[in-house]
Amino acid sequence: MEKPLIEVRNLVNKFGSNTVHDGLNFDIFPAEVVGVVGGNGTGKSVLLRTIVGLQSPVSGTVTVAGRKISEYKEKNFWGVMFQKGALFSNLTVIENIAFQLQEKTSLSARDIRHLALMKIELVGLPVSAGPKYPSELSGGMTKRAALARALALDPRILFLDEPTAGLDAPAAEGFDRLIRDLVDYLGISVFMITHDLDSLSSICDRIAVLVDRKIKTGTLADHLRDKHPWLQEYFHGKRARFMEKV
Amino acid sequence: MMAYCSIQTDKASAAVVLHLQGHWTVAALPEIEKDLVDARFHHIKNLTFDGAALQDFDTSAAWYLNTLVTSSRHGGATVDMLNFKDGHRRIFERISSLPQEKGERRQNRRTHDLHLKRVFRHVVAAVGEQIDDIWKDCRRGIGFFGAFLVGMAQRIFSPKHLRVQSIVFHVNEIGIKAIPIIALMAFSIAFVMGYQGAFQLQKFDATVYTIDLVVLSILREMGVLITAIMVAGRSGSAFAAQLGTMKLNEEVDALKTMGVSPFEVLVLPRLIAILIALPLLTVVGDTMGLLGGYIFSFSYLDYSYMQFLSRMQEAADMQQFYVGLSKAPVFALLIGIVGCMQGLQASGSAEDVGRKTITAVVQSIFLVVVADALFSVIFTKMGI
Repeated sequence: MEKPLIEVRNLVNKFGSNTVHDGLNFDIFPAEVVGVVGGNGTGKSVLLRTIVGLQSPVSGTVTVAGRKISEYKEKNFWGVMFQKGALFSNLTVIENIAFQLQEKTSLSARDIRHLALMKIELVGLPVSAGPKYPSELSGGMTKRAALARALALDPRILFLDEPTAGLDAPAAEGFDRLIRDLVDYLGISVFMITHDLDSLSSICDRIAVLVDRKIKTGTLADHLRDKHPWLQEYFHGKRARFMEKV
Repeated sequence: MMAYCSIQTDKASAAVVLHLQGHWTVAALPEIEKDLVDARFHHIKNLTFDGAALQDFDTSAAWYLNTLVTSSRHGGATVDMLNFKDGHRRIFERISSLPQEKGERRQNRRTHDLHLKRVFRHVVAAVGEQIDDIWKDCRRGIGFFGAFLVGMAQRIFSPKHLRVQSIVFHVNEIGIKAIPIIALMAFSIAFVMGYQGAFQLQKFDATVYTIDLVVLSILREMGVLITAIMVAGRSGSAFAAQLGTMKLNEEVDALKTMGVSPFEVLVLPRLIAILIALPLLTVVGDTMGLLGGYIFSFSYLDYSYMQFLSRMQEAADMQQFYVGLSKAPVFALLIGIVGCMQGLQASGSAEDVGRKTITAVVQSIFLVVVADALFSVIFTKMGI
């Protein structure tokens, strides 16, 4: 088996007296899509924030490419796409994407512009969206622009927080295909928090379920067999009927 | 020795083979460009890229390789790509299939006007826009004032829709919480005025008129002016920021969809509250100003309490106090209307809320000062 890019060991996260994670273990391997699901308040976003170092855990370790997270300074290891995009509202789309290139590389302004345009096209945005400000974008375009920004430095792992939430079905499907393409073409890994059962069944290699303050990882077929009540409800509920066929 | 590619040239057949090697990533791109800048592809008939030794290859490197390929093809060369790993080839194909050229044309679309002409046009346009903005603000402000009058009239006939709770909350925010700072400001200003006045009047042996000076200017001008400016800074800005954020958050739109007028729910209580709070604060400012004048004359001019009081009564009557106080409601409305109006104008981004807040404070202080000047002229003409 390949060495994991990210290893999470014995992670404990608490907010006051509320334990969110209790001894959680989790890996991300190269070139895979991991879907993360869980009920509201089970700490999906907290897990993401802990892995990318926005939040320090009460105890436990996160190891990135064999090194401790606190020692890991190279920022193009991952790109993060936040739930609402978190595009810088005072910069245009092109400037948003170019931002990291300007900060982290010594490329010429001309090259940066071209690379940013290339990223815009790569995620399927029209070039005319480049000079627009985030407030002028529709929901779907915001998601794509945020993805383009996350891809700016060609990260090895993409963290996506509900990428298809709020998109119409065809747009969500297009977005799913785009993510799968990126994984297949660029060989990156994707950590994706989602509630979209379509995404889970169509593009995820593995699914991680947050239950009982721990995590259960496996393929969709594994989870379908699982007898845990929450998993039963989630994967066999009315909304998941179509998955019986899988 | 080049780190990212080695070039193999066959002069006879004008063929070049580029062996790409190492980590072709965005971070290395400047180095890669440096490596290849010496390589001349002008007279080449046959260019081959060999990707056998390529270790890493990302989309940015693929973009760069694609520019090399297309520019060589434009120069008339045939380009081959050999021995690329499967994944690398897929990345390249994906990037080279993007409609890249469109971006270039956009970039080159620049007007070729004379520079001076362009600057001139720009200046004229900017001035025009500014004036247009001011005009629109004026109209909007008058509209707001009208809506306020209508709202007040309606409240008089159906007072149960008066949002008492909201009004009380805002009176607390605007008024009660501002008492310490306004008291301190009025006290200090009176003290400073006394100090400066006494210093000048000493030359004429007329230090006793320092009390006249301080008392009159506090009651007629400074008390209400200081209070209004402080409230503009504290509450005018708060109005703009609160309403602006609510606007961005679509809370204002939510109210509209419920068939509730945002003006009634958000603006009217604030205007009524500031209309109550500012005159009361003015009384606080006046009182503290007079106290400051007394403390000054007591500590520097050695006047006793009784001396100060009798001098004060000679200098000013209640009318002077009313002159100052009568301005307070006008200032209050100016501040409240400008703050709420600017807040509701916010659109787009967090930055715009900030900009509107600045505008609200600047405009309301400006209007307060202008209105004060007008009052001075009018009161003087009336002989008050």
